[in-house]
Amino acid sequence: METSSMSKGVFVYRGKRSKGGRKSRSPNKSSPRKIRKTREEEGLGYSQETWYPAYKCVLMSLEDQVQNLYTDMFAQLLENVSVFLGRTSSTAINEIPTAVVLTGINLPDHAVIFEAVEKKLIDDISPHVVLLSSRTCSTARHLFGQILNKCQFGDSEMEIESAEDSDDIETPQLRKRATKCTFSEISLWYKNQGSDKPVIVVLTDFEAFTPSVVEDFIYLASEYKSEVPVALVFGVATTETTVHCALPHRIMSRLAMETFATKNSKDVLSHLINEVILSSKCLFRIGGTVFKMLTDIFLFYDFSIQSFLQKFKFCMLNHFAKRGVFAVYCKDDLTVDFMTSKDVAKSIVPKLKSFRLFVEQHRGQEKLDLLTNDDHIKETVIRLENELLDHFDYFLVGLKCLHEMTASLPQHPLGRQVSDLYFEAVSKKIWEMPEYLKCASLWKHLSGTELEEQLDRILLILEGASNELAGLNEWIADITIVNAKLKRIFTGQRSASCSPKKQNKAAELSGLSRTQLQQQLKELSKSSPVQNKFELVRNEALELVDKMFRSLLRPPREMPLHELMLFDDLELAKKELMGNSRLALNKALFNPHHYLKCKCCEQKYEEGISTSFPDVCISYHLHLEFMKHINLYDWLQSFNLIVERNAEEEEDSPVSTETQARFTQSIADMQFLGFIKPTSRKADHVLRLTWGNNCA
Amino acid sequence: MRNVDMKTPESAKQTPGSKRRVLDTPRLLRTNVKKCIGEMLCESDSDAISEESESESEEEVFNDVRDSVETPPKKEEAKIKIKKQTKSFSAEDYFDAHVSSKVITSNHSLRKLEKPRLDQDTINDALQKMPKKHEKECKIIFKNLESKFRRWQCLLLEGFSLLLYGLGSKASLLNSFRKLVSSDEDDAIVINGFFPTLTLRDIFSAIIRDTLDYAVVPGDENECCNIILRHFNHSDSHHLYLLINNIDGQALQSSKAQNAIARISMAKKLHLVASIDHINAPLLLDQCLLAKLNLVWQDSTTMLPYYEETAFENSVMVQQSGKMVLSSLHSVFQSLTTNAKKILNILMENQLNAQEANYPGMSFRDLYQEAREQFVVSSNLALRAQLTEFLDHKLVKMKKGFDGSEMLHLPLPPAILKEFKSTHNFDSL
Repeated sequence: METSSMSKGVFVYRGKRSKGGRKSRSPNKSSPRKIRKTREEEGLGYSQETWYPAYKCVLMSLEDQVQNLYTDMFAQLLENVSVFLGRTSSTAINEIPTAVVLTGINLPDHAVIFEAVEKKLIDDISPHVVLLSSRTCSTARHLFGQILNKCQFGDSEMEIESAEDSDDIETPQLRKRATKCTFSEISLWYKNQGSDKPVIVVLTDFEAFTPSVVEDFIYLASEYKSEVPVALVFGVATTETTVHCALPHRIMSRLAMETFATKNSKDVLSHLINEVILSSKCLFRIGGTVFKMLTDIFLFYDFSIQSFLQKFKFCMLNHFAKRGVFAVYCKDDLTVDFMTSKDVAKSIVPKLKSFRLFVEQHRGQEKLDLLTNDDHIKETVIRLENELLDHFDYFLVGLKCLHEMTASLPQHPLGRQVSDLYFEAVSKKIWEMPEYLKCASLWKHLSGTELEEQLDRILLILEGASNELAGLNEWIADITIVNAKLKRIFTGQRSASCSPKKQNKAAELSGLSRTQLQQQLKELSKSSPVQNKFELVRNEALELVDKMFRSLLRPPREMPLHELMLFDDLELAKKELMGNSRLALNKALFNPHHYLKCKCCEQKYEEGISTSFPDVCISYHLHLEFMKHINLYDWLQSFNLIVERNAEEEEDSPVSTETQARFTQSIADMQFLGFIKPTSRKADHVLRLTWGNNCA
Repeated sequence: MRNVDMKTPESAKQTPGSKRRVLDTPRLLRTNVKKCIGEMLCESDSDAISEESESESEEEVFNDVRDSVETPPKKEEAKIKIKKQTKSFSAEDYFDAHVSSKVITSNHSLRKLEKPRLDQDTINDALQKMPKKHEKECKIIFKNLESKFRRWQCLLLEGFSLLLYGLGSKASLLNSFRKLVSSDEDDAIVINGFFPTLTLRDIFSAIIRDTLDYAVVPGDENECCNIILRHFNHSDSHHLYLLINNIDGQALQSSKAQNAIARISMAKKLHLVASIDHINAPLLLDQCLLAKLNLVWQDSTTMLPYYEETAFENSVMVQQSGKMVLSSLHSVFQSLTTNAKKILNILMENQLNAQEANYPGMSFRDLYQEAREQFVVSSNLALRAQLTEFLDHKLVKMKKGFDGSEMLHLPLPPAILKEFKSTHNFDSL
């Protein structure tokens, strides 16, 4: 093979670009490049497909919305930090103003936060903002060097770019710079600068910095305070105490610290879900199970919004690639117009299960048309998809209303978040679930004021959405009536006195003998308690709300053509986003038929090891029988036994060179895969590194 | 079935002697089981039951076996049936495996064979001659995987990285993917992570010098990363496909290497495809790495043997021919001065003459003495200068002895040393 060599491990395959490619790197000179680029985009195959521009468009809008969301979420924090630094750095105190930003453990998201911080600080306070990560600052000298570089050249880009033009001079220059990396150099530069804006140093991952480096830096910075005003921002992933633990008191006393906390990433996610993913603006709908998987990964693994979004993007890409142009069809953009009826009829649509079910519901001519008449199919598809899209908007409004009703219930039978409701409601009739019934019974214990508040909030949600969704007006009208009734009762009740009926009853009871009283009480308990006015109205209201949920929350998954809109391929998402290499490896070794699909291995699988197994599988099966240590000789004998099955296996039959070679290779494979390793404990033994099944 | 091996150690304690053989090896166990079944077949069922109540724990061991063998099978079949295993692994198994610190295995050793260990060439020859199993099926699997290439490319261009896992060498698969993606305009780099002396610097210099045409590769890794990131984030850049065979390889296991690779994989126009084979490879990836790499996992089981990956002479069963070491020794030796050669010769002779099994090395003082006597060096310092060269080339290793003196030895097995000595005529020096 071309990529195998005993002397090197890296193989470069260059395209036939002109070797002077370096020069055309500057953007202005790139006319030949541009031609190439378009050619390349075409050549990719997938970007030619009709769905691709639509996918890009949906993705862009999603990214924009996320960006806006981020800006909103961090606005307050940034403002606070900026105000603090602006205030303290101008006053002439001896301490260095230090903003400790608690960023949370969702490390992958920090880059976004600090980018925003940097931008805000540059805009508000000073152009000299230096973002440092512990990776580049192993010593104080490196740290100063970084600060100098960034301050002098703005960005490291310029430095390298200039060095590039003169490769030979580059190295001595760099070296010179390395020897001159001191604080006095910084102060010299600052003097030449002639501005009075502070230098803001942002340590993005404070925990990973060597404390002594930070100590030295702070010490020097406070000594030079009169010459160079410095302000610090620490990014701390855990708690503020880490700063106190890392730095001794003499250093801490030179800092004027204030702590700022970013938003909890869990809150950010629920905000993201409510505002972006489950809003009618997002044109990609994700199925309940996959969505649950993504949020589970978030909650149980990394708390990272960025990786959540990447996984979401993966789902989107797969959905669009699978469903093609149908996935992107939306109300405003009539992509379907571009397709002929024939295309629709021949495409994947008629093969969809939900569509076939839909066809089955019809009889006679209609059914025949749905199967054969291309134009009719196209019309129906357009109609159905429109219905589905409309319904989904109603569905989301319904979810929000239901969330209003369930979120405050004790024990949260249907979860705390809208997304919890979404997981279930998208594929099931939620009103048939026991959790919903439990909620319904809890609603009956709501007090008048609570019910009133909730109805008010539901009305608010409905009215907010009714501009676009006309079908909601009906519900708004009904709920308003009930709500008004409820309000009337309360105003009436306050003036009304206790009902006289009950008093009468009490009087009746007082004059009876014990048995009569017993009798009377029994009868009273049998007759259902008389409902008062409030209860009647409450029941009316609850029935109305229930009816509304049943109508709005019809599961989109049960509607025809839902496959076109919902990405519900949990298996794919699980396999490709989480990956289970151990399982795949063990499966292939244990049951090679699973991958090979050959006849020879299939039949004998039930019986154990087959002679026809690949060698490494035979070795694997044999090694499962051993305990911690494996004697190579015995292993080889067992191997020989399996391979030469027809040979008489009474006392050690000689091992042929071929068998030994095969065994040796399979052992090498096993060692490479990490199942065994050599041990010096006993001659010709290996150590087994896995466990399980050692009991044949 | 379930308890067989688990219980055997107990029975061994109770019944020493001949019964202990049962535990020795699974093979012996199997023969015993077979005997046991044979006996069972001879006896009537009732007898078997009565005997069972009397029998010792050893008999108990086979209870389950009896259950599984309901109908009288032929000898051959019985042997196979015993191997039937449940597929599920439970946590209990771990404690079973680690319950006793002492594991009893037989004292057999490979010396009982005609050739205890084969060398790599013999193995290769033998394997070449043999008909390959499942060649057709492997080809089908390979074709199926190749049909996914378009999708892979699409995922890569959308900013994801691919991680290929599953049994079988993926080198040829990656190579075939490389042929698809490396066009006239785009570059591809194939990296063999299993290559023992691969360094991160090799990768950087391949990218920076060979594809970006820089004359100098910066020494600092961060700077390398920055150059690569800046270049491949540029919308005007060409695409680079980085295909890594075994990102879990020895050379790339360090967190520094992993982090650097993950960092450069974030560049928009640099696309990473990596393969893993080691069963514990996913443990390398923590959440930061995962977020940077943005992985899509692909089950690409090829079922091909790992010929290339295991070719670097580190397997237990392969005879360490030391050919690579020998050839490197030759080439270094040729460039040495006469005096240096003589010093090496002194060391070598000393090592070859040593009788002790645990040869500690030659002390620096002895070497100096010897070298002075032969008029090779005049001063302590001169000898040290010579030794530095050996140490740099890893020809000689230095250890601190018991008394604190420096002990020098050649890290090579005696056979290779002898061979080396015979090829060069040291007496003529």
